[in-house]
Amino acid sequence: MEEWYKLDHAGKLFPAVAGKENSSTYRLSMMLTSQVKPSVLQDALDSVMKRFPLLNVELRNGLFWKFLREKETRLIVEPEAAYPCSPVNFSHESGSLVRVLYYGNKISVEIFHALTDGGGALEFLKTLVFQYLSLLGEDVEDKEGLILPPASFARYAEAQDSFQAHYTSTTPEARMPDALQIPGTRFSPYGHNVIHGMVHASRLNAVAKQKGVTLTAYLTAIMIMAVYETTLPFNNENRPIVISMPVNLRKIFPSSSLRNFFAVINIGVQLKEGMTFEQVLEIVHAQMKEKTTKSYLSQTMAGSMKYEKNLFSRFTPLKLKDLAIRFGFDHYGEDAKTLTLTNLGRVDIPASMASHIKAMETTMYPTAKSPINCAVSSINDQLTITFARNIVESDVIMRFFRQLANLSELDIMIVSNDWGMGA
Amino acid sequence: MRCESCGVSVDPAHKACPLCRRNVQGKDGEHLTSHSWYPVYEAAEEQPASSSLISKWLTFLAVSVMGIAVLINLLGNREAWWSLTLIPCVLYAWLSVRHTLMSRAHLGSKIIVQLLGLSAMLLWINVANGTTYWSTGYVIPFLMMAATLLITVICCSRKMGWREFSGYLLTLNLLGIVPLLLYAVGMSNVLWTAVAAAVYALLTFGGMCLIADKGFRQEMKRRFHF
Repeated sequence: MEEWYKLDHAGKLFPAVAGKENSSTYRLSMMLTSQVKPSVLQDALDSVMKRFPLLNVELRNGLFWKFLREKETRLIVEPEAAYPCSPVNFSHESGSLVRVLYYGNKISVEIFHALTDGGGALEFLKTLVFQYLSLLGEDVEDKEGLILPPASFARYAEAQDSFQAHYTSTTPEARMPDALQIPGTRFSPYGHNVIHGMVHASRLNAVAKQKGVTLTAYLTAIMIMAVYETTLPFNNENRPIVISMPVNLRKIFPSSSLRNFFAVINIGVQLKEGMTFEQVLEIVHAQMKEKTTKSYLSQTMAGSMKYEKNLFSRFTPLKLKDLAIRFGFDHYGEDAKTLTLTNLGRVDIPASMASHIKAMETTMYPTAKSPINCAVSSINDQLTITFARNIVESDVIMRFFRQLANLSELDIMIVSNDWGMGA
Repeated sequence: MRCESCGVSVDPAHKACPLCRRNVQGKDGEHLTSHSWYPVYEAAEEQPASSSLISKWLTFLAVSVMGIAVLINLLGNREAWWSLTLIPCVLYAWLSVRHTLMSRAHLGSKIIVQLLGLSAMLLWINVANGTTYWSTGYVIPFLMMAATLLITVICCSRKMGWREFSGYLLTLNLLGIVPLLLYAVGMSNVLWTAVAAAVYALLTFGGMCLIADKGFRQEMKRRFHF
């Protein structure tokens, strides 16, 4: 019998707000040491999909909620042709909510956020690349147990909506004030320009440690300074610069779910003239410490889930619910942040697989009100900081990398897809 | 390659630094290599889709026809409000071209939109002309039954028909009780057609539950979960 899944709590948001300027589709890529063979990749995908049935689904409408239904057709690998994180096709005939792409030595997966978050997508990509290398005849073994075992899909645990499992009714935080937003000129034709900065991971980590903070706090403080300096001429209302940060809840609440399980915390600083980087770093560090505690995250979860739990909203027809979600997202989510910075952290892979992987990157889609977003991930001691933007202006990104290079004194290698740059 | 302005290394696939756009390759770009991370994107100009342009013209045409009709009616013979009959016809024609012919909507959705559009047009003409409720009494209930029959036939004849159309059939079953509601509020004078439409909807629903496979019951669970 064909299977279906209710959308998880976070997954209910994305179908309602997705569109051309908010694709809600993110990308994870691994750069291998040899050219990708599409036929082998397809074979690897065919075998891996049995392990990840949650990703071969289509989005359908119910009377009260959308739901996911397993697809009859198999997922096909495609050569990369469009800009990163382009919108997925919802049409059930030809569309898929997941894309597996190849280009040169690179294997990418692009996933519509309603299905899973970066944590789930990472498990999928790791398993796919492991299987690909294995089918290629490479000597890869998972002695460390870092790849999902090829046993059958653990439907209850892995398809679980962990938000429901860990929900506790507490008083949510009050509404945040409107944050500074980065203005800019949209690319025409519309697309996403991506800039990667690659740097030595452990050396950068050591620089952050030297300051007594985490790497994420260090990068966030540099980001806030870069936004501040860029927007100084037109931030007349002195709005706070707010960096929105998804937190992987699997590390805090016990869960082996392969679906969405994250909370978003906002790190905001109202800069005053003459504030130094060290002062900003201190504020960011303190806020991150406070907002990543179990109790704070429970409160954040409760805040976002209170509408879903409400009996009236549960019985509101889907179309009305979509309108309300879109309004809430625009006025409470997007207006309260300047940009998103997500850190997937260090990606651990089996030692035998490591020699086949050159680099890894994560791309977070930009949106209409958050036209620049940033994602960080590291593999094999190489950290990749990726900016995706839908506006021509790159001043924030330029200032960020200049400051990072200047403060850390490390070499940063810059690569871009040059979208909209005419070259 | 190195960008001295930004203090970073630049992948040799780039002529200019992606951050500051300053040239990093020199005049001849002799060290330029092919891009190992991204393909060269095909040049695409952003143009409004031709269907969107046609749609705008259609809307303009419909609004113009309705406006001119009302104006002529106002300036001419005000005793006969023929423009009130013309307006729903124009709106229905616009809906048919825009949604039924031009859109890529699902066939089930097109059938339902046609049913609703046609019913609304007839009801409007009926009310505008002030005669007895012939639309709600006879035409709309039979339209409901015809649409339900049409989708039932599609479900039975097409491969995967139940999977694709059962949601629309359920919607039509719910719409089947509308004529009875119209009778209850006094907007219809004919009981037997209203009862026939409701009974037909119920029979179809019962048939779906009995005849259709497990998949249909599963589909019900999916569509109505809250």
